[in-house]
Amino acid sequence: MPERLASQIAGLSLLELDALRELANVGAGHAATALSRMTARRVAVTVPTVAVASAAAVAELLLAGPEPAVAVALTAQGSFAARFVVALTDRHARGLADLLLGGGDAGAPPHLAESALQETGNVLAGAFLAAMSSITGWCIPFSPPLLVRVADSAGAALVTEPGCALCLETSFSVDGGPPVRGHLLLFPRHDTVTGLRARIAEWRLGN
Amino acid sequence: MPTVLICDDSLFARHMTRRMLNGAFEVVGEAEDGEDAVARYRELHPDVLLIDLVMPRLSGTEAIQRIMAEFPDARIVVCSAMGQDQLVAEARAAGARGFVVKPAKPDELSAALGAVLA
Repeated sequence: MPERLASQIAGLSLLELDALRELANVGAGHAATALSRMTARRVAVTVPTVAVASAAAVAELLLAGPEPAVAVALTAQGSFAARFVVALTDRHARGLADLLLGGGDAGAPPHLAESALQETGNVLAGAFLAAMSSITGWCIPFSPPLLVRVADSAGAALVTEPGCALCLETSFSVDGGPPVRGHLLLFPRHDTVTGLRARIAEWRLGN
Repeated sequence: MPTVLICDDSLFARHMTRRMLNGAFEVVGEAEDGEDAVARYRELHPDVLLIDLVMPRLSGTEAIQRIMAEFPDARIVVCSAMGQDQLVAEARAAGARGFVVKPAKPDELSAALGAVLA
């Protein structure tokens, strides 16, 4: 039902909704491959869903309980203006940082774990958006990553993108060792959705 | 041992790159953004510069342009999460001789650096 609401808000047909989900599926697949290379572990992703892009809905998605989440947000520019977010609860963020740093890293510089999470966001965004670029033919530069702590709707508002009606969400899990699970979120701006709808119409016509 | 200057705004990326190059290359310095890379390049004259693209203050592509204008023989390899064709072409046009897409494996990184030093 939330998917229907989100698609109605964005004015999408079922076919357009399906096409957007498939785009997100391909992007998430590339991001999962990149994460697998970073961690040397198998990474699974779920089928993308479409959600309403309000801060309250995002907070509900990321905060299953009282535990806060850590989100890495990047802004994609050009024809594919969007916010890309990687989010994990605190516990899973620590697990991912440990995995990336090979367990305790004695003598490591301070803030290395936070930097590791930011760099993960950067690499996953690069992989996701490279797939989008390949499909659409658009050049999609993006900003450096920003680390945001999300404990409530106010925190979630910091990672959502103004001018977005919908959010494409995929969950990922890193297999082996302590569980590491998180979310990939894409908030395409209204004009990006409009551009994608035009591309989808062209693809339907075989152009 | 060939000398390398690493430029990346990510502390983690610089840390891991140092680890990956250990034993095969001498990391003579680190830079945190494009501005810093230009200054450190002038100071250190490394055999090769390994540089990211998306960074605050001055991007990797702009830094490459500035360094190439001053040091036309500079050997520069880009290591970036932005592997899109257009952006790779821009970096190459600026003067980068090699490009590695993150996350890079140690052998990929060594091969790319070795190729520009050959």
